[in-house]
Amino acid sequence: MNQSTQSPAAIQVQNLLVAYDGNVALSDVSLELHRGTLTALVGPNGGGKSTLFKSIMGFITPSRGHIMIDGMSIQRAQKRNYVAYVPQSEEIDWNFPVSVQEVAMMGRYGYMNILRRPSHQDRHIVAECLERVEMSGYRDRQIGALSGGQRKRVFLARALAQQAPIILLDEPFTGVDAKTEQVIIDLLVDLCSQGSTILVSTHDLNSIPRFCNHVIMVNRRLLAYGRTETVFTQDNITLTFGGVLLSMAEPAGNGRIALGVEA
Amino acid sequence: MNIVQLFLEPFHYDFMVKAVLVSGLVGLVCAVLSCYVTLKGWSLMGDAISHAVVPGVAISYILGIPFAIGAFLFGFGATLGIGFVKSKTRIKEDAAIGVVFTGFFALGIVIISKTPSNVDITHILFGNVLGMLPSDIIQTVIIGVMTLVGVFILRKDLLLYCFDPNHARAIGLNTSFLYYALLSLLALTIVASQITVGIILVIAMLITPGSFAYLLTDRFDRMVLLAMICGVFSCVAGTYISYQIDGSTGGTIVVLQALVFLAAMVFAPHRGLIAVRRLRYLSMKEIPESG
Repeated sequence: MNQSTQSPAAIQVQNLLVAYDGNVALSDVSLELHRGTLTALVGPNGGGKSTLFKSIMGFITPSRGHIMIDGMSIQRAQKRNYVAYVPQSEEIDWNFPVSVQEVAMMGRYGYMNILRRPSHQDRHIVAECLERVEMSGYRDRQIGALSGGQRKRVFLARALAQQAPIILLDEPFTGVDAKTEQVIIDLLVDLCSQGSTILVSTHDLNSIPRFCNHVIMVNRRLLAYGRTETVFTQDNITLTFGGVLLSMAEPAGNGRIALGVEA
Repeated sequence: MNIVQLFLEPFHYDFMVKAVLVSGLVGLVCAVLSCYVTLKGWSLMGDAISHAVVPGVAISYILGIPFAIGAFLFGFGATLGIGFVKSKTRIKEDAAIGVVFTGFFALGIVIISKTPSNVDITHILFGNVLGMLPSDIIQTVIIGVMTLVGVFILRKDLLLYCFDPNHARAIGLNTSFLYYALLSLLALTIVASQITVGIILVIAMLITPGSFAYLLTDRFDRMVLLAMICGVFSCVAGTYISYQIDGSTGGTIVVLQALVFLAAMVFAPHRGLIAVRRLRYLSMKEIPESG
């Protein structure tokens, strides 16, 4: 896919303001994500990261402003399987009686008829996606019988199976092993180079310069957005996290320290 | 009379054959829905709908229309009312459910208390499967079959909706449609069950078979099958036993279900109390051997 200046942005957010019960959670957000970019979304807890995510997914309706996906409304884009979403682990009921294969197949529902009978092609794509995340050997496992990293990879396979040009990942590195982190990063870089638009919310500041070419920094409003090398500076990190950064210095997930990151 | 004849004796009566068949169907429909209710955590919602149908049944009898219509309208209306109260106030969902369904139920009791004798509250509350009218049977069968067809068509979408509604939405499924579809199917099931077990005990049929099956398997299709076996068995056997002991049919069915659940809780191969204890015992024994 060629990025042309004529085509609409993959994700366009204009003057977004979200308030819950009169309390503003996030305001003044305007940004455009273009095709073939891999963007990190960072900010302190309660700083509006998930609010921005949920707004882009259409799970909450903004109080002001609007969001377009490739020039379409969110709803229309979703009907066309434009956006895939990898949820946080806490959002999933891991005791639910579904297998690895069944979860990955849910990525294909948008392509099936109302009875959701998988075609030969659907099965083929799901098998391929499970292969890509190295989960082929676990297809009949119930999802609760997997490690944290394996669980994450199953949902990544589901997003891949959806074949959406835009992928959102909510905290994909929380509670995963080093191998899974590498599998996820390699895959995201690969997808990005093929023209996908990827947005990753993360606590793991250290890994950002390794694979993200853009960064969005929010704390109740948009503080910085741009290419990683220009925006991801110590000043902006301090601006975003402020005093909170000291508590962030607790192991964020992988026992790394979030302080002292240089761009 | 030999033992076989004694066993089959109740089936010489037409009403008994019908009662067993109809309650078997109701057991089947409830069992299928119970899997979704268990996984979605909608037990309280089921309880609410079942109580909320009472004024609908009463008004239907007064107006002389099929009870199923009034029951469905009020059962479904209660779910809309719950949604309205929840969205317009700061009250949490469980309280919203409680306020609305008790209000509906109480309204039903007042209506029945003010109408002449032809509505029997005990039949509404506890069912009357051995005294069903032909019109009751027709309504139960039509609604039961409609519900089964509806669930069959939407089974995968409903499962996805219970499992991960955000993904359902992200792939463009209409999640508010699925929410109301599942509520409607639940309301229809309750309406169909009302004659057999009554509205007080229907909630057991909407929870126990699914919970029983959930203890035994990690696969949804097997869960549905096991729930069906539990539901149909307890309904058929319960109806039969209640005739023999001349006791409450709904009560016997639900007692049987509770016993089946208890058996699974104790004896289930992986999650049963015995299996868990045995596993713990084995792992304790292994420590000195390996160490």
